Amino acid sequence: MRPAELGSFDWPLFLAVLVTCGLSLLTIFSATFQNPALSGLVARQAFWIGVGLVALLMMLSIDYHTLAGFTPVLYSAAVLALVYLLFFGRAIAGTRGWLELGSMNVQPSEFVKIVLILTVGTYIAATGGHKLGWGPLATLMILAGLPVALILTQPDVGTAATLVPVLLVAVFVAGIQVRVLVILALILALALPIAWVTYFKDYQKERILTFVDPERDPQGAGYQVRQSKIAVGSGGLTGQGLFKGTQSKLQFLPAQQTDFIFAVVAEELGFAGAGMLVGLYLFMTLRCLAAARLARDKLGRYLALGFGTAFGCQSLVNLGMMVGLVPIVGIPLPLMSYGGSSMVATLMGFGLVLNVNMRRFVN
Amino acid sequence: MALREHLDYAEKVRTQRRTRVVTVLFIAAFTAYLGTLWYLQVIRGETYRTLASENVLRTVEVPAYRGNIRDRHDRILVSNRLAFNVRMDREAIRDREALTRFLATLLEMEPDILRQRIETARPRPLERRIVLAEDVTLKQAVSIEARQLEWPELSIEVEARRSYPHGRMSAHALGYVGEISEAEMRSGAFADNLVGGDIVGKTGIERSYEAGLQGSKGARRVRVNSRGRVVEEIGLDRPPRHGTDLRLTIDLDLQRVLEEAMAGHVGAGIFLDPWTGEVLAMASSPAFEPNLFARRFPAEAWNKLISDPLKPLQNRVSLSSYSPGSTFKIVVGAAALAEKVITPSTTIFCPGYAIIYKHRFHCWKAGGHGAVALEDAIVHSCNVYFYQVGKMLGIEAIASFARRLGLGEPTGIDLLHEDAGLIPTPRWKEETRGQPWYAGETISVAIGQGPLNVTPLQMARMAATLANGGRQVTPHLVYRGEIAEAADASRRRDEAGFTARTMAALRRAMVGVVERGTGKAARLADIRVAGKTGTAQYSSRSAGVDADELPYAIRDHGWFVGFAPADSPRIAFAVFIEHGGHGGTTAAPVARRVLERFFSPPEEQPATSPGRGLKDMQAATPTVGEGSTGASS
Repeated sequence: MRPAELGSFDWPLFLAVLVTCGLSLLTIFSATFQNPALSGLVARQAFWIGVGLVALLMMLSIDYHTLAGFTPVLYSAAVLALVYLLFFGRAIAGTRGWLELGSMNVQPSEFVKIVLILTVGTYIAATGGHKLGWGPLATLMILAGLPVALILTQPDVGTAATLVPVLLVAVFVAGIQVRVLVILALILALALPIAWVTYFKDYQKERILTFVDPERDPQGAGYQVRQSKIAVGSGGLTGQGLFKGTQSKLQFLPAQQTDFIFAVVAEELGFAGAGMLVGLYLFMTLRCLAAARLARDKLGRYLALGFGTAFGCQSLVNLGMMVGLVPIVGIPLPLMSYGGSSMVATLMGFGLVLNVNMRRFVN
Repeated sequence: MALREHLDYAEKVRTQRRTRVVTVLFIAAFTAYLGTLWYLQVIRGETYRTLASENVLRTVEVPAYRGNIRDRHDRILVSNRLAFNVRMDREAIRDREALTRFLATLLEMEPDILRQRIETARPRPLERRIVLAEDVTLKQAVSIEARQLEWPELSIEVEARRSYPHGRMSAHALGYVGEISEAEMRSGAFADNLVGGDIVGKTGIERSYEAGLQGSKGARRVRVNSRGRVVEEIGLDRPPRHGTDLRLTIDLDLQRVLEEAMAGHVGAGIFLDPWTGEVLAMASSPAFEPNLFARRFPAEAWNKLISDPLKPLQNRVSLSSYSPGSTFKIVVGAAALAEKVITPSTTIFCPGYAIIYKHRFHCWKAGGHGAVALEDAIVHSCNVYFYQVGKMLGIEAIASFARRLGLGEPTGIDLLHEDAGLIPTPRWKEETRGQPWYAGETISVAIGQGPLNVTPLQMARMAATLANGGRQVTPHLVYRGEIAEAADASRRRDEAGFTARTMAALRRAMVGVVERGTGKAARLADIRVAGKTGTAQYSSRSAGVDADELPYAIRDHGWFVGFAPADSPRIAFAVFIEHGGHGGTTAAPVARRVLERFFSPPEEQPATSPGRGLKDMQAATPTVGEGSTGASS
């Protein structure tokens, strides 16, 4: 790294990421300290933050053009890993998305996200400056569709869903012929009802129906939404106090150190804390998009855009679940939720964005 | 090259503009989220805060124990015992079918019964735990507690359950308890803090003294977790007020003898203190097993009892009225003496029949009794004598004196419902049937036939009035205390309006009935008993035929009414045997057995232990404490 590159390092974004990681540790502690069975989680999360920061530095130190050169290899490895999972994956919570590596369970689909961002970015950057026509679009859809389809068969709708915006936003920014757009919209409109009948499992339909009508089944699928809203709402302006949230401490909140971690923050720190956290996520998303705008070239632009979209959309989906705006789909809040794969992959993504940003003036 | 640069520049401008669009969309979405967050946390924060505290704070009932009921010598008639109930938290339920199968196997119950109980409780508030099975064995209770992790929605509740240690003994006087019904809750007749599932008195003493026996539940506040387990006691909001104990006037020994004597008969027997109205023994036969009702799910027991042709639930003492038959001759005799239409020495000739209003009325003795005065007419129960006296008196006078002796109106006993019976008058007939009174009907009424109905309790009260010299007493089951009962006994008012001479004449006649007449079966060796038998004709086919030869259902009803000792009465009674044939052969022996016991009690005195019932229960079962509820177990 040259001094000039360090000079244009996005310190505010990096700091925001570190602060969020710190908040993650604090909140996981609050969510688990009463339960002896979960007492090791804070230390493990701290360990993964450490691993993630090392990965971030590695992503940062190699020029992203060099990284993009590895894309075909990474893409092939990702698809192979997903196929392997189909047959040998370890099922956790009904999803065969886990790879057992020694004593660790790794979730490869989190890393596929980064690979997909690289793939989409590299491919669009390589095409000319024209709006996307049928040919390149079809290629992109096949490239992105393959891993998405494999993740859907796990089945992990939540993770698959966070990959789709990456492609959509990239296509939107690159530009698309109007004719192509209309036909695609029609296909999508037809595909959804068919998917409803053929693909979605009953519990998934139930979740979506419950989202439409929360009182439909207050004991079953509606329970999580209801308890989450109670937790968030009861926080008020200033919260019930750190470590004092009754919804989390008395186990009314489901999965409170993972998917529902935001509700713990909202309950204990109130609007003051939760609003600030939402602001923090918006800030980090905007820094990624700014990096895309300021990027030196097309590759950098699409890489930063891809990650910013993935990060922003996933945050929105998770936060939306907490306040009842989005059905419960079971995806973590990046940087906050407990989980090593998500933490490392997300920090790698930030490494990529910081990389693009840092090298924006270099020739 | 310039073109290439130009294209690149155009592409850069376009993509930057579109990235801005994406940026704006993200800002809009995140801002909308902040708005939602503000709405949830700040605007509706109070609502959710309340919901959150309702999630964790529960008011748990602290049960109040129902008061015990004891006999006049403080022997336990009704108390409480510990029972284990299986309760289910519907908020914590996960797999209803698996749960039903588990419980059905463990408790050896039909799964459908469990499903039905869950269904029945549906309208109740969800946070209220419902009872799925009651009175399970200790072993079953332990099995369920041991599998708490597997079935967190189940809990074992220790409940005080009503217990009738003597079973059917005085079942109709004591009554039974059961779960309060929706209608009862709406009626306003019960304490207003009772909710579905609470146990209340349904009949008898349990019902009429419900308010005192029930006591009042206490409440404690606890903090629970999402599984409803109590994680912290916050405090006692309100201590429970346990029900007050009742002491009855019933003497358990006498009651037992009465019930033994009534066994196999259908009917009723009441023995009173003639001076105070204290009920010493009271039985309606057949009786029911009140322990069957002391549960939440009595359906099977109910159906069996309701379909029983002998109607064991019917309280024949005070809720059924019957024709009094010849016992009514005492009323007519008393009225005739008081109205001075006869004197004790007035004689009437009985040729075995009388022709009155051109109609031939028969005496039960075909050959006739010859010339009889009042005493012999009562002793031998001569119909012709009373036909003539009744004709002289007229229906209005008969009805008026019947009322003075307490017939045809509720006695005021401390049970909620009571049959009034019926004393017919011309006005009554006009109003109910729209027909005039026929003079011939008076002749039937004079020997206790016709549309005349009395309860056995009214007859016992009449016997008390005859015994104490003309004073009306109010029969009662709950002991009022030494002073009140003594004051009652010393009160001397001749409310019935009979002279001492009239009373003495009637007494002489009634002693004669037992000494040498139809009531000989009630004779005691050294105590003079006064009584009157009655045989209420049930069907015209039964007239003049021996009861044993008739089918049960159309046999006559037998009565025996009286008091003893004749000269200084200490006990008055009425015994009624449904379809028992002649009162002298069925009812009188029952009375004799109880009187024998009353006048020669066994040597050893009943152990009196005037302690409080609740303490007794706690002493016997030390695990009962105020904190024993489902939530904490």
